[in-house]
Amino acid sequence: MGNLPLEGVRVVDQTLVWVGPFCAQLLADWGAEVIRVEPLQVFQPMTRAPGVRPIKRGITDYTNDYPGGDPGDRHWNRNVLFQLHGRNKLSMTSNLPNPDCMETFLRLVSISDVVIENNVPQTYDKLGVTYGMLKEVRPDVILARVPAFGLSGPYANYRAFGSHMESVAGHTWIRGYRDAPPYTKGTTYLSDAIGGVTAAFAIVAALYHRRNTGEGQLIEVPTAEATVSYVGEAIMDYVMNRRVQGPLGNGHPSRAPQGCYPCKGRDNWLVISIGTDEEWESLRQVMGDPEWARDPALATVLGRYRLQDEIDSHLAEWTTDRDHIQLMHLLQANGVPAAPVYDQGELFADPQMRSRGYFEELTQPATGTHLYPGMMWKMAETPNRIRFPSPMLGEHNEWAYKELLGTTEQEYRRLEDAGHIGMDYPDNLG
Amino acid sequence: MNTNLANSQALGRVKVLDLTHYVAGPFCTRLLADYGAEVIKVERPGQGDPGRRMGPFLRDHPHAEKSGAFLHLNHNKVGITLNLKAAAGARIFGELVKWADVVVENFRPGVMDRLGLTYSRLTRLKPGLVMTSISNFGQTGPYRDYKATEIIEYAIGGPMLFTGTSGREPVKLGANVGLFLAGQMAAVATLMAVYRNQRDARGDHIDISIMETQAGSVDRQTAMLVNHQYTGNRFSRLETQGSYLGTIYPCKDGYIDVRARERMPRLIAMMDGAEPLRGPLAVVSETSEDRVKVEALERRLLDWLSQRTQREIWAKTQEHRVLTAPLYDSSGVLEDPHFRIRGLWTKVESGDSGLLEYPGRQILMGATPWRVRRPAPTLGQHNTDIYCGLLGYSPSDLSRLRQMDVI
Repeated sequence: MGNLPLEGVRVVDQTLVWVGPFCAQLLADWGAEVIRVEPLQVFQPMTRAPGVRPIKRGITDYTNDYPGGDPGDRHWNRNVLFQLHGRNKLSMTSNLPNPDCMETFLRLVSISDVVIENNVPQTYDKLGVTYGMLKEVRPDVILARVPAFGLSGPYANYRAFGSHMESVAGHTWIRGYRDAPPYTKGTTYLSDAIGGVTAAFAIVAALYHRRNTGEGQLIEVPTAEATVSYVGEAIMDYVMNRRVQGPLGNGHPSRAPQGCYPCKGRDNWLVISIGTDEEWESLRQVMGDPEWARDPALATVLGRYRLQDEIDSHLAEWTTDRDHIQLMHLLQANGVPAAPVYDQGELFADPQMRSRGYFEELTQPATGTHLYPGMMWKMAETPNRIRFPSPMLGEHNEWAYKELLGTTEQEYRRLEDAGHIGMDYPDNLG
Repeated sequence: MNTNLANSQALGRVKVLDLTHYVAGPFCTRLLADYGAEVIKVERPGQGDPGRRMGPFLRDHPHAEKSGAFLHLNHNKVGITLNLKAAAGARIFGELVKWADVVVENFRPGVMDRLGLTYSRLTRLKPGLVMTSISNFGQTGPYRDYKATEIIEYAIGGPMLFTGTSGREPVKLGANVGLFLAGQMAAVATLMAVYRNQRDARGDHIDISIMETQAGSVDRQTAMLVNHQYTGNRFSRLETQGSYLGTIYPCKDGYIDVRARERMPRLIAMMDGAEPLRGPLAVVSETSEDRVKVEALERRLLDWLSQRTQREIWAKTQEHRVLTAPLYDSSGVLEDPHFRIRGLWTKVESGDSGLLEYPGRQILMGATPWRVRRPAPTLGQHNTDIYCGLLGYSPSDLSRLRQMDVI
């Protein structure tokens, strides 16, 4: 038992929205000392909250909410968004364009191992920050830049959210219903997660290389490009056969039936995914071997694939008065791959998640005590829990400036008076 | 094995024994191999990785060496066959474990135990070994032996309830993206353990539950889970996707994803050809009066979009700081000039499948670049290299092992 893998690694975190913060979360969760450097002069939208003022738009806007629906004082310490990934990180305030703050930043870099940023590339250009400059103060520094489309090329400075990266990477085109145009499809995105995990992979690889050779490096993680690998099957189909794949809905190219079926109660659903003839046989038995399922045409996966729509309507009829969760257990006990489509409350109550202690209770002064998604994996020899909750804006200023950077009391007061050190955004910030 | 090339890459010193199959495990080990690790992929004699039977196939002809999915997931690895159920196979596996720093497997929980390959046994053979186990629901818990595919993980662990439109069934994401994500997460976890080993050579056994990677790494899902904790709200599919002026619209040559929302003044300015507005953004509320205005605006927008191509709209909206993006299909991705100029694509001579173009590097590492060193192995392609070259068996040993169905 013992040290977390990244203990001793200090990370300067200049990330915003989700991609970069999620990368930093993975590093912080496993022991890195992650220091968020946050400006008071710019409110970074969708990072600590959607906007500088709390706006309540109704319950469809799940990122724009607070414990009990109440923004309270300093809503940026209570908004859902930052609480997703802020845990295990520290927060200091500093505003880079200011020369004093640039000095603070470089002093921090000189005693750090990794710098992460996921701004549009031109932000660093405007600030005058280059990898060479960071190397001067810290020769073996690892700088990870996580732009949407890369540091070069025609789209280098194109701005994008996860949905955009995913559209350009070819994923949006292949998700969704088979029988509807893409504009009626859903709104769940994956690219942000991909960028974050990919960047974490690159940073740990670079740390490993540095420990072997003493050499740091510049890492570029173009999230849209990283996403292209994830739709490799569709890309390879085009490369090999010049076939443009469309959406498969809930279907599968080689499993049938596979689908999502209505169950008892409002908006309750079960997914079933049959791959082998044995699984099909088991499903038939669980259903009591109804007449329709005895059709010899359904004995092979090819036959079931051809008649998937017909099977779907029979299955939907069978599931419709049954409980989605009980049905999963019944089917799984008989070797049939099936699962309920969980809502949020059901996931928190799930016996598997509870037995593995996945959700962890955290108490944060601004938000109170709640359960949060926990560690992304378990290490048998290294039990790990969330060590501390999301920091309030500027919570660690005293520590960072005075203890870590050796800032004098006088200089600290000066930076505070100049509005760089604090725990509030200025009232006039638009 | 060519270790010279490998050693100029970040993970050139990492040796991985790869027992994985299908998608999540192979993607994990491919990422390690892409950045320099020496990966020996161990497959069942005769059958091999079931991923070899996954489409697409070259010219739609099912063939174990012509699966596009398999080729994509397994380049940079060397491949051997080994029957782990045979006593001689298990013994040889022990020799390979002594060579390895890392073992990655994604059998159903309990399979490694039944093969006698528990972590405690393997770590006795190779102290400090890192073992990564990827499974549907984790190595413990009541669902340990439950079956799953990608859709099942997305339903139970991810935000499937929220995906799709209300009045219809929930719908999954495309292809196997959730399994790729789990594989990448496993690669991060593995590397962290390898990195720590440089310091204290302690070893560890990593337990990746795909269900948990769904619950904790899909941003919408975590946002909805935390929101539910804070407010008790339940989130399901919306009536229309996104919100007003934030959806996917048709345009001249396809579809375009538009997120105008708070940027509506800029959008109006763009369509009128006026200067983009500066200063605080106007926010439109959801009152019925505003609704009428928004609908009128939407009609104008549709007309404007219908006269322009995806890339024209994309460039124009970027100038005005309105976020949009073309919905590329796979031909659009392959033809896009940006990805071409930046060298995303890599041509690989792929044995029976000929010269193919792959989505290449995910990451550009300045000092230790990505490389394709070899295409995905054919079944048992490197048996002689590994058994004779690395472990010192003679060619006659090899043919005996072949006759015994061990390799």
